[in-house]
Amino acid sequence: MTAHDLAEYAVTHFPEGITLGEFKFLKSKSNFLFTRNDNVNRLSTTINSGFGIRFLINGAWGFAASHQLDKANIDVCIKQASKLAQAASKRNPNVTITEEPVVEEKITTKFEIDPFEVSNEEKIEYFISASKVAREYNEIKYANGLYFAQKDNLVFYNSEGTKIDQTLVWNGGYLNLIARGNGDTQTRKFSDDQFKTQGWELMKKLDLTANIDPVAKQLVQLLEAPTLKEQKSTIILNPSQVGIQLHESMGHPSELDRALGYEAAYAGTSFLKTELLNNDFNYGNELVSINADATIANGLGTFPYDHEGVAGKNTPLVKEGKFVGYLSSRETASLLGLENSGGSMRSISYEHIPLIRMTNIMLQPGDFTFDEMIQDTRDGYYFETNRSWSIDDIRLNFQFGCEVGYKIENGEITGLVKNPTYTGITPEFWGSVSAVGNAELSEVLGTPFCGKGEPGQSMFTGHGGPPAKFENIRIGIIN
Amino acid sequence: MKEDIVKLVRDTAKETSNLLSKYKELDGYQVLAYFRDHSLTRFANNVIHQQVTSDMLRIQIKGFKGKKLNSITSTANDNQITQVVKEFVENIQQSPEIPYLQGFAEKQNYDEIQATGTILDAESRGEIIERAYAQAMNMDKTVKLFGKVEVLDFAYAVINSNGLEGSHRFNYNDFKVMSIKEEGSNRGFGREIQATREGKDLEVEKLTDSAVKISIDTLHAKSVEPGDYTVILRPQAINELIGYSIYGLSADNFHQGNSAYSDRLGEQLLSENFTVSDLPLDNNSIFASPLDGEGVARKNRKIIENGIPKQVLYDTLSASQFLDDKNLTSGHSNIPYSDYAWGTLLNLQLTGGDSSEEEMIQDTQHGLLVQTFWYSNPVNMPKGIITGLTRDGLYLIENGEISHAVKNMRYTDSLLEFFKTIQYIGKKHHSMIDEGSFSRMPVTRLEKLKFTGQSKH
Repeated sequence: MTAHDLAEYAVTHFPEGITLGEFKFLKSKSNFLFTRNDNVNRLSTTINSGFGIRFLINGAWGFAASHQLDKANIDVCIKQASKLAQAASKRNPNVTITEEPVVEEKITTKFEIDPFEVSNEEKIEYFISASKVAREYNEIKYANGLYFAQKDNLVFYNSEGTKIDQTLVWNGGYLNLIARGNGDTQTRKFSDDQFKTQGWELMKKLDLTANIDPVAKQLVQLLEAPTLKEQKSTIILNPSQVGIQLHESMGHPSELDRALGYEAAYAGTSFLKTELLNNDFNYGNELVSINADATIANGLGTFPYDHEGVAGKNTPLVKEGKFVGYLSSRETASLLGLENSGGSMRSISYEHIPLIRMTNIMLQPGDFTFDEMIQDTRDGYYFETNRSWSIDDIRLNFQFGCEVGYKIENGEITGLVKNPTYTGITPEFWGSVSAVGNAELSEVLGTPFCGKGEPGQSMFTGHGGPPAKFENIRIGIIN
Repeated sequence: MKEDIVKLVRDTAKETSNLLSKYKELDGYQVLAYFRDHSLTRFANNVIHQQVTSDMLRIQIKGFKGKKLNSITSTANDNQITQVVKEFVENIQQSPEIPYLQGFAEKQNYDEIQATGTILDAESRGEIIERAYAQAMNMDKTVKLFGKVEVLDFAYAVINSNGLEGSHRFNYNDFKVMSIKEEGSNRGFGREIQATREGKDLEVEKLTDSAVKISIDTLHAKSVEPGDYTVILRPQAINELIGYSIYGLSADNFHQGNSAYSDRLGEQLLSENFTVSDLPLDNNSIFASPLDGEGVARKNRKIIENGIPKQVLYDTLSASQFLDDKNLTSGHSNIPYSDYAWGTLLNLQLTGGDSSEEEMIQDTQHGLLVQTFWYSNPVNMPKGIITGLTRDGLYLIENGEISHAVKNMRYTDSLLEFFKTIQYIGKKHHSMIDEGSFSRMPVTRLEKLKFTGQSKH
C-alpha cells in the first residue's frame, strides 16, 4: 500500500464525533558523514518511516503512532488515539482550534543536486581535501568534517479534507579545526551554520578546500592571542552569532506553547507573557525588527506546509522594538483569539506529535555597511562564530562564547583576542543596539540540532540576519 | 506492556543476520535490532495537554570488506529488511576505508540482569496526575501543576559475524512535577523528578509537596550579589555538574585535547571524597544492561575514583583508533533507547558520604542551597569551565538556617576548581533520568562555586 492508500483508509475510518482527525505518514532519510583528518570516522544512512494519528475529541488530544504500515495497525492506532483522548478528559484542556483553509497539493522544495545522488566518494573527498589544506599548519592536530543531509516525505491528510504530499530536502556541513600549542587548545569552524533547504550545490558553493586556509591560519594565530579581559564594551556580532542569539533569546521565548506553559516543566516558560503582546512592550530599541519567516528561499526553517497542514508564513515578532507576534499553532492561536495559526507546527519523525518550532528567525536589515560599523567604533570588539551558549528558563539571562574576537580601536581592527564571551539580559541587550547591517550583509543560516519537547525532538530550524552592534555589554566573563 | 519484545528483537536481528551471512561481499557484519514502546502523559496548567503512545522497531547494520565500513539504520517493517540488506551490501564497495578498523567485538559472556518492572498504563498515569493535583490543592489552591508521567519499554539484540549474540530489555516510569505560583508579575517555580522501575514506587505526594513548597517560597525571591558562595547542591543540581564533567571523558574530547582531563588521567585533580561510578550491572540502575550497543559485556566501573579521573569512555571503534586495540573498549557503545539522547548511556552514581541536607545547612554560615541547574554548557573545555543557571529553587543560607529564596543566578567556574572543594556528601541517594542518562545522586556541599550573574526571576 502507498502512503496515500493508507491515508485514505485512515481518514475514512476515523470515528464519529471527532473535532479533528489527522493522519501523518513521515519517511525521513538522512545521511551523516563524519571525517577526521584523512579518514572517515562514520558514514551512516538512517531511514525512519511510519505513521501517526492524532485526534481532538471533546477538547482533548490523543496521538498514537506505529512503524507497521498496514490497515490493521491503522485500526489499532485509531483505537489507541481515541482512548488516549478520552483518558485525558479528567483533566480536560478544552482545546479549540482555528479554522484553516483546506489544501490539496503535492510539492517538493527546490534543489539542484540531490544530496542522496552524490557519491560517498565525492562527499568524503570534499572534506578530506579541505582537511589536508588546514593541516598544512603543524599546530592543527585535528580537522573534523561533519556533513548532514535529510529528505523528508510527508503525507498529511485530515478530517477537514486537506491532502498534502510534501518532500523537503536540506543539507549542510562544516570542518571543525582543533589546534594545540602555547599550552592552549583552540577551535575554529568553517562554514558557519551553513545548513539550508537546498541540495549538494550548497556545499559546492561553500568550497571548503578553497576557503579553509584563512580560517586555519587565524586559528594558529589564536593560540598566541591574548585572552579577552573582563570589561564593558561595544561589540559587533557576525551573522551566525546574531543568528544563535536570536534563536535563544527571540525564537524560543516567542513559541506560544512555551509562553502558555506547555513546556514549563522541561524547557521552561517565557518572559514574553501573553499580556505583553501588542501592548507596547519594548523587546529592543527602534532599530530592532525580527520576523519568523518560513517563506525565505532556502532557509533551513523554510517549508511549504507545517504538520497541521497550514502554509508556512512570514510572521513579524518584533517591529521597531515592540513585541508584536508569536510562533503559533491551530490550538495556541485559538487560545489567544488569533484568526489563524502561524503555521509553525512540525515533528521530527512519525512517532512524535508536532510542536511549535522556529521557522527562520531573522533580524531585519538596517542601513549600515560593515565598514561603517567598524569605522564608527572607537573602542570595541567584533565576535565571530558561536562556541558556547547558555540561557535561563524564561530566556532572560544569557551568556555566549565565540571562537574568535577582533579588537577594534579608533575605527580599525587591530588584532585578535581569544576566548571571547559576553552576557546580558535579553530586552536590555536588544535595547542597546546601535547599528544593524544592511540587506547585502544578511545571511540565512540555521542549526539541525534545535532541541524541544518531551520526548525530545531535535529539529532543523533557521536563523540569521546581518551583523549588529551592541553598546555597553559585559564581556570577558571567566574564560 | 507487550511481553514478547525480546523475542521480537532477537528474531529481527536473527532474520537480518541470516540474510547478511549469505553475502560473500562482506568480511564481517553486526546487527543491532531494537524496539521501543513509549507512552507519555504530559500536563500543564493543571490539565492534560499531551497523551501519546508510539512504537518503533529498527535495525542498525554495520558491515565491512577489508577496511571499508558501511552503516545503515532503518525502520524494520515486515517487507523492508530484505531490501535494506540488499542495498547495504551493494553499497559496501562504495564505502570509505577506515585504516584503524579492527572488526567487531568477539563473542562475550554476559551477566544476568533483571531490569523490568511494571510500567503505568494511560489510566494509571492519569491517576498519578490526579494524586499530584490533590496534594497540590491541599497545600495551595492557587498553584498550577506541570509535568509528565512517561514510560518506556525497550529491548535490543545484537548479533555479529564473530558469533556474538546477546539481548536485553529494560523499562521504567519517569515522573516530573513542577509547580508555578503566580501573584501579579511575580512567579515562583519548584520542580522535582524521579525515575523508578516500578510505577508504584513513584513518590507522587512527597515530590509534589516539595515542588509546591518551593514555588511558594520562590514567589518573592530576593536578589543577592554574585560572587563565590558555599553551595549545597540537591541531587538534580550535583547531577548536572557531574554530567558535564563526564563529558570530558568521552574518547573524542579526551584524545583531541578538548577536555580538562586530557593527558591528566591518573592525576589527583579533584577532591579525594569524589568517586563517580557507572553501574550498568546494578539491577537498581534504570538502564541496567549487561551488553552495550555492539554487544560488548559491560562492567561496573569507577570513572572518577577519589578525585582521580580513571576511565575514558570507548566503543570498539574509538578504542581501535586511539588505543590501537578494539578489545580495550569500555563497553560504552550507545544503546539507542532514545533518538534525542546524545553521548553514551550511563548509570551514574556519586558515592555517598555520611551527611544530610539538614546537617549541611546547620554547618553553613553563608551559602546557597540549589535545587537544580539549567542549560549548563562548556565555555572552555580544555580548562573545564562551565556556565549555567540555577532553576526552580534557590535559597540563601545564613547562620545555619535557610534565610529566604533567591532570584536565579548564573555560575561560571572550572570543574577543576569547584570539584576540588567537595566538603560533605549526603547518605541518601535520589534516582532520576536527566539529559539521557540515569543517575543516583546525594546532596553535596561544595566550599566554593563562582556565581557571575543574576537573572530577574
